[in-house]
Amino acid sequence: MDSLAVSLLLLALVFVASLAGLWWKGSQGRVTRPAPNALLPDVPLDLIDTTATLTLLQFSGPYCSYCAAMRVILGQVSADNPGISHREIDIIDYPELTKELRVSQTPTTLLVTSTGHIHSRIRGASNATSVGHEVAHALKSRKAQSDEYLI
Amino acid sequence: MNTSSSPQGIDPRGPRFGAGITSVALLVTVGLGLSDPSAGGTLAQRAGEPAFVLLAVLSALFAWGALAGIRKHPYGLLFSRLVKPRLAPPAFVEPPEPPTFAQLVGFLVSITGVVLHLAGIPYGLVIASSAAFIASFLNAVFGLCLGCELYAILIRAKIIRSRSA
Repeated sequence: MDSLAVSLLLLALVFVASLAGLWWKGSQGRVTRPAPNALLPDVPLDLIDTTATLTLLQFSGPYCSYCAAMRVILGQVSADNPGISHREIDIIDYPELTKELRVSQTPTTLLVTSTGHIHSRIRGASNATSVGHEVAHALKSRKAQSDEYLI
Repeated sequence: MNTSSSPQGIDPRGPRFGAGITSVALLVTVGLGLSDPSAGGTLAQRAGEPAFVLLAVLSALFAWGALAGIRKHPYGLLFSRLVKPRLAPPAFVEPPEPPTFAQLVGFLVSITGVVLHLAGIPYGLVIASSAAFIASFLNAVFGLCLGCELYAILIRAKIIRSRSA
């Protein structure tokens, strides 16, 4: 094979690997909010801090590379925001719950209200800014809900 | 609640540093292999080709990492002696078992290329080196360690047992 063809193939290889990496990077920290009619059960109250407005419930697993990073970030968010708690559980200890709540990767973080309702989930590792943004949204929608009750 | 990290964790930038060196060497291997991918000639001729020699050396380095552990790999030592002192302390540490297992996966992939080339299979060396390149490139550039993910999946499925458990 001549050197031009070889160079082009090497470039293609780097390109494909970069695309795969960018796709993975993009999938990390993706936030989803369950639809109102989603048949997801609530989180058992003993796993959350019922005195907090919102619990960041982190699902970690054995040998999960980014669970430690996520632990630091969520700990920081809960330290910065009064009324926000961080809890971490191991999927090995809660296989049933992991299945019921459709947690398919570690780390997965659920934003859970004090009544056990899941507001949103963050798949994979994220950063403090996105977590803070999602927390703000959860607090706002919770406030809107309680205002409705007042009327 | 430190359920998932062992007390003697490693700096996650160490394996990434090593993967960076490995991915460049693997890309060179693919390039050398592509210039003559036929795997023709006698056994001795095939074993003397630069691409083959390079992949054989890389296989041996993977085997070293898999057997001695990621911290005692030459690149791991290089990182802790020369690179780490110049960096800020890591934001978090990770257990050494997954990257060590990833070295084993790297060894299996690269030794497959070595065997296929010795057997005279065209493109065997190129394909194995390309697969290993993609994995080490993803680790170095994006911090995605495929072998580590595989290790976590196997532990979770209880197919392999954790050494510390």
